[in-house]
Amino acid sequence: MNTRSQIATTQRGRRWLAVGASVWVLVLLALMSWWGWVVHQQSQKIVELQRLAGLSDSVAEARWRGTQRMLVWEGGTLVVLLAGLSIALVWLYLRDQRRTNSLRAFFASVTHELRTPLTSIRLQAESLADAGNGSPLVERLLEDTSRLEAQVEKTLELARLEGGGRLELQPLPIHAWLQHQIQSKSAGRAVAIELWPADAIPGALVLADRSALEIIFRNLIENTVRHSQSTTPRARITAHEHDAGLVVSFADHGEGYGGDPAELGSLFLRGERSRGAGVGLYLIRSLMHRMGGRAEFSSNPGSGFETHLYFQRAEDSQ
Amino acid sequence: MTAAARILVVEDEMNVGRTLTERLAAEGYRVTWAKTAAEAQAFDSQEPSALALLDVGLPDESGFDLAAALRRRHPQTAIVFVTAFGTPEDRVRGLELGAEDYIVKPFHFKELLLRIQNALRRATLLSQTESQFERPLRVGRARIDLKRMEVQSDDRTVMLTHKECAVLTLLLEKQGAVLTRDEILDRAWAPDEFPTPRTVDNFIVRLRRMIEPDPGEPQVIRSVRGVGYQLDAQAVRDAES
Repeated sequence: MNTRSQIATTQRGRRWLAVGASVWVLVLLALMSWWGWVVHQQSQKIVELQRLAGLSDSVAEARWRGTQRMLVWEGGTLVVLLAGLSIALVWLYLRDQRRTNSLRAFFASVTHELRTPLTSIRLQAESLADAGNGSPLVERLLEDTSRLEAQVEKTLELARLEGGGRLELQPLPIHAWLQHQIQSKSAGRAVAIELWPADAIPGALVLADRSALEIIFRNLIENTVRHSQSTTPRARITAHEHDAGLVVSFADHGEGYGGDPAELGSLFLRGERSRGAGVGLYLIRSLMHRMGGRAEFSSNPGSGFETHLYFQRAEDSQ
Repeated sequence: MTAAARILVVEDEMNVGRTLTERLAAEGYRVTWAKTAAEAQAFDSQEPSALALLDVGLPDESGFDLAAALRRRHPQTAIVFVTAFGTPEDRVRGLELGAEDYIVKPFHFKELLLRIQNALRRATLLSQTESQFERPLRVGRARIDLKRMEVQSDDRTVMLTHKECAVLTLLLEKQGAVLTRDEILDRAWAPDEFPTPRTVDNFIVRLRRMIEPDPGEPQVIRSVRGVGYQLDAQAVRDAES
């Protein structure tokens, strides 16, 4: 589903919500009217019974008027309470909407404010490196810039997703995309990655958002580097078909996770010695879910960590 | 050809703008740096650029509005957005305005360079192939002016993107012949854009909406099942005749 159709779906959802709310108000009004009518009928019957029991007309009339006053007060109070409750709910909803809009505007502004200086730092550090400055200081500067970029991206993506941010799904040749990432991105060069041969699953097209996939890949690389016990971290990416989809597995040879594997992917979960914020695996899981797939994690302490990404396959055209 | 191409950098952040300008100049491009949309418009009116690198958050106007204005004046200029606004909605908006590419900050300079080279290569190829179609053509129900990169149909004028133009030019060059999806992909997309046969299908759907008398029953651009597409040569004629 592309972004425009997702927006259209959301608008349709809002329309149905408005229709549902209107129907609910009408049902409520109908119930109130019915209740008023039933009580009115019952009170008339009681007055009739009192007359039959021998009460004088004036006493029955006085009791009838008393019952009517009680009905007007009770009905009026109910209507006022319901109206007050509805106004309070509308006010809370509008306030929540305003807050959400302010938060979105704030994050849009933060996004710009953080990304622009980072671009400048990266551009200048790369210029120094490309100018033949082989100083380890430049290497460290680039390394830390990458780490900072990753943290900023993770935080912003988390905020965006939690705020209902959308993805743009499109068919992607996953093997070619991974190969490009490994060859062209510095993240790919930080780890020696073995990728499954292209002809093993020819023309594998998955449904994915490229930016989301980039965040997932970057997180997996970052985890591999962070938890590796070797100076040259290694990872292996394999793939196999599963039902109508494709499973891409990323396995590292790091220290693994010593806790309960069922907890993996929870927000703010951190390993005992991890320096991370506990956001990476949660993002992977959320992004895969948003792309119509899922992520599973498995680990044995000391033998590495595996992430299995279940993608939907994109249909081939004819 | 691309090494001497003129690039207009529109960036209000001093350090980013200055470094980009210096690095692109070092790669052999003729670079002009504008810090505002108004400056960019002024530079563009003096001399059109082969490519414009646009920031979206400019102080005086949105980069999206600037892109639309630049394209109206010089449709041949390839537009590449380089911006901090990276949501799918922003990306879709940029590409729908006819941008060749949408790059989110921060980026690797080498990747930016690669994307610039791709966009310039496509623009150069387009200007070479378009020269075969100097005069406006009538294709199906539409009047197509490839020089101005626009399509008129049902009293509506639509600006074509460079990719749409490239696909349309290829179909016109080979009218009557069956083109495979791979041939179309090779003409309009670079491999690192990861296009798929479905990408071609989506473009054909868009072109059909512009030119077919009945897009639901396409007769001008016919599908050849399992192979690709064929432009009906009978449906193409000189617009002035």
